[in-house]
Amino acid sequence: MSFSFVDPSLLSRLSNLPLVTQQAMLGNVSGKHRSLNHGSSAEFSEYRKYVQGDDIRMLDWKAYARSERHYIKQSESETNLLLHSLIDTSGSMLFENGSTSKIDLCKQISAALCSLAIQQGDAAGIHCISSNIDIQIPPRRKPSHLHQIYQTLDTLTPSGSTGLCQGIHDLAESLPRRGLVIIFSDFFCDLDELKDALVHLKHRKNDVVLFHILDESEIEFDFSQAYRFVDLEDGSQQNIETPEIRDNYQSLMQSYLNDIKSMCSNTLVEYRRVLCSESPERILVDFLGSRLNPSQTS
Amino acid sequence: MNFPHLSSLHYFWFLLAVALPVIVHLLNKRRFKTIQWAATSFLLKANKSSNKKRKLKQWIILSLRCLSVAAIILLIARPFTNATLLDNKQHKADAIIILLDCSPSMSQVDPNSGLSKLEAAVRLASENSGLLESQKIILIDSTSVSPLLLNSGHELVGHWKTKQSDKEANIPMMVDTALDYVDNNTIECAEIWVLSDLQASAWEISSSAWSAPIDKINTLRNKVELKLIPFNEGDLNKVDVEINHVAKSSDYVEITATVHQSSLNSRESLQLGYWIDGDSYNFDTPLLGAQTEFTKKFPSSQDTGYGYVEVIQANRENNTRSYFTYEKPTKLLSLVVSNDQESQQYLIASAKASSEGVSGFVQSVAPQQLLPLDQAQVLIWNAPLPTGAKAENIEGFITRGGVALFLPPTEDSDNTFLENQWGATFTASEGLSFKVVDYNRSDGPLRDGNDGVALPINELECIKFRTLNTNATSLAQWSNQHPALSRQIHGDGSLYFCTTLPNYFWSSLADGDVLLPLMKRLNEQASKSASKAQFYVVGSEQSIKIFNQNSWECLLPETSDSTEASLSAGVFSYDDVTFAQNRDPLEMRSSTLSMADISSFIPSASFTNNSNEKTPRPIWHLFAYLTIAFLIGESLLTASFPSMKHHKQQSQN
Repeated sequence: MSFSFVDPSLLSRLSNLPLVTQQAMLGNVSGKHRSLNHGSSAEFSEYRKYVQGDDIRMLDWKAYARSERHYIKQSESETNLLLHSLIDTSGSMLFENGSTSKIDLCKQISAALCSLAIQQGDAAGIHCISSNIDIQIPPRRKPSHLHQIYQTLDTLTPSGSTGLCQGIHDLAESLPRRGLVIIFSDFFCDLDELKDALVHLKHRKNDVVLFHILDESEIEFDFSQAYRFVDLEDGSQQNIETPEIRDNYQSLMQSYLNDIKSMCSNTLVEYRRVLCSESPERILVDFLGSRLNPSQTS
Repeated sequence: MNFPHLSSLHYFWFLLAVALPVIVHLLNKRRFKTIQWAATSFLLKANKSSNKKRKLKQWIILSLRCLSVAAIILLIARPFTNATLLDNKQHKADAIIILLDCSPSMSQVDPNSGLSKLEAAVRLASENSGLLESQKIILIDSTSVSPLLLNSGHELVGHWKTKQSDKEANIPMMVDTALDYVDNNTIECAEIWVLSDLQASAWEISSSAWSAPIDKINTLRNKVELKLIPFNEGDLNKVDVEINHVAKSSDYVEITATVHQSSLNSRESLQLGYWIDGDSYNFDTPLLGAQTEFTKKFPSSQDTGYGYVEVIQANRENNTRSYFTYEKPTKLLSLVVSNDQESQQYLIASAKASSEGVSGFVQSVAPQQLLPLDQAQVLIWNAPLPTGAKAENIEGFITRGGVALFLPPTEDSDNTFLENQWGATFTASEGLSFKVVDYNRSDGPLRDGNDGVALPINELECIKFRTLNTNATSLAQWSNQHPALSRQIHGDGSLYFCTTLPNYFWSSLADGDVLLPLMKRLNEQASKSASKAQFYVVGSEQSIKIFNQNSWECLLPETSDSTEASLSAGVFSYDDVTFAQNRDPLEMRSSTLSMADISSFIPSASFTNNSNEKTPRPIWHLFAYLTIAFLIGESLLTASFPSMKHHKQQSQN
């Protein structure tokens, strides 16, 4: 069974790029990600004095030979990752203006990320949230789990108003341990509420990434005639002479974009603005690449 | 505001068109394109913050659009100011005397309104005078120059006296008639409205004809106010053709004509239509400036005939034609009677030289001899005035259409002829001479040439002349106000009195600069009188006389209304005589005066610069400027300014 939002060739091209986190994880199995626990791995961590009860197999006999003292050699543990893709499924995500719709772009990116995570042994799950929808697919490592994710995404149709902030709070409460939380949304919500929600997530030691999905027309507002604007969430209509308000709109939008970027910076959340016209491959390569080399993170 | 160019005030129904922008605005509101939108909260905020400004801007734009439509409609209506026409003396004038210029030049049609200047003038006068109920309204038209009391100003529109005629207007005579009317009818306070296109030929501002009216204006200054309503715009397309001469030879007719066009007109060629004895021809005639004279020959085997030349597609209604008749030329006989040998010699020579064009003969006859007046057309008499049987013969000769030139006898004589009597001689002081200071340049044998060049009258020096006791019209005056040349019309002919001689001891007349053209024009006049084919000017004394005394028939134009034909250009016949009547050639050659010209030559308080400002003036320019201003304002408000926005965005970023 094939899914329109899954591009196998794209996944094969991305397979060499690992999905990594920028903070230590607490996994229950070994993996590729740095763990908070010490364990057996090639990476040296520290020396500690032997205390009674320690596994004598961990004693560093070479250090004993040099110093006649018993030291335990500790190594870093590598564990797996819990990837949580939180997708805003409010009606506004249906927006499209000549290019890919917001929700389709979300499906393509989140499906690819889940696939990459499961391929590298991590667990991936998705959470779809709106006032009408609340779908929770908890993270699993099994490759068969990916199919369930794909099926869920395939049947996903956004509707209703946004319930993103509450959804983030709920997710923060429900996560059993820290993980990588990627939120896909246009974030047309109250920024203060969003900030609280993100702080909540961060407080639970999660690595949080925002994918801010917008259409170019929403930023530029380059309309030249009168339009009847129908709200995608509540269906309300507004007749507007677009040239008349363009300046005001652009000003408000610019201010909002600056605010959300600033808020993310303050809450140590990675912010990535994505336009519907951009190719998913470019978006993913930039994202994965930046995580491998954090100094290049925008 | 007046709308003299409108044929009906129903035109103002078009003002309902100001509702068009409103309707378009309302329709536009229904023409929204639907789009699904996510960032509605921003739309609402942006719309709310700009709502007040936007609504105000929309109202301004809508108002500007409505105003521009209204201004365009008023612009097309070509309004005149009217406030100052009526407000003088708090509307307390007892009478309004309307002087209406009905001359051919007033028939020029405004292409925008479709109304002629005359129709516009009549409407203007009607609308303004129609508002006055207690005042007398008197109309004096340029055709009849007789006052007509109207019951109301509204009668002016459609009145038979306000119709255009081919007769040239005589404004000084009209003003004089109006002032006489005020004086004779004990009117306490009157306004005289002159509605004219300021043709120089109608105003004759350099003529002595104004002296009497100006005196009367000064006398009646407290009772009369003269107001001028000019219609002197839009003469750019004025084109007229004047027939100078039509000569018939054995097998063709040769027409010499002049095309007159406004000096502002840059037309380089003109299509002229010729109609000769039923045959039509069209030719393109190249034009060389304001006046172009040309000659065309057309085959014709008839001895007599008639026709016309017309300007095709000129901006006039019907009066761009010049009519003519032709016939085989008759030979003139000029009789020279003189008892002064030197003068006789010059008179014979000049009569011979000047008769070349009309192929005539000159015969010298002694005063006491029997004159062959039955064969002669011109008599030059330089002897004591005739008396008795000879005088009767000469009187009969003049009555039949002969032209006689009387020169002063060298000896004193008490003889009287047709109430004219030679007086004493005047001799200039030693070293000084008499000069002609005032002469009629538009009429008579001293008139300007066809090319507008004046005769060298200034070069004529007179050291001796004889006074004349006469009632004849003075055509030229010496510096001491005594007549130099007078004319008396008697019967069909004319007698002229020249008060000096072509004699070394009298004047330099013998030089020929003045004598030769004088004689030539007398010959031409005699030739016209002798010829059965005649040219007349509409409204001239001769023309009116013929129409009054004969049972005439209109040959051209074929559609002419017989009741008004006598005051129209055309070809007419009576008995076995065929003659053409044309508009005054002076009008065709005439230029248009400015208000400054008029106010400068009439030194009356009524014609000061202030009164110029009081006269109604076209104010369509104002509406043109308003329209442009409204449209520019509207476009500025609706146009987007990418550079400014870009700058704003950059500053925000």
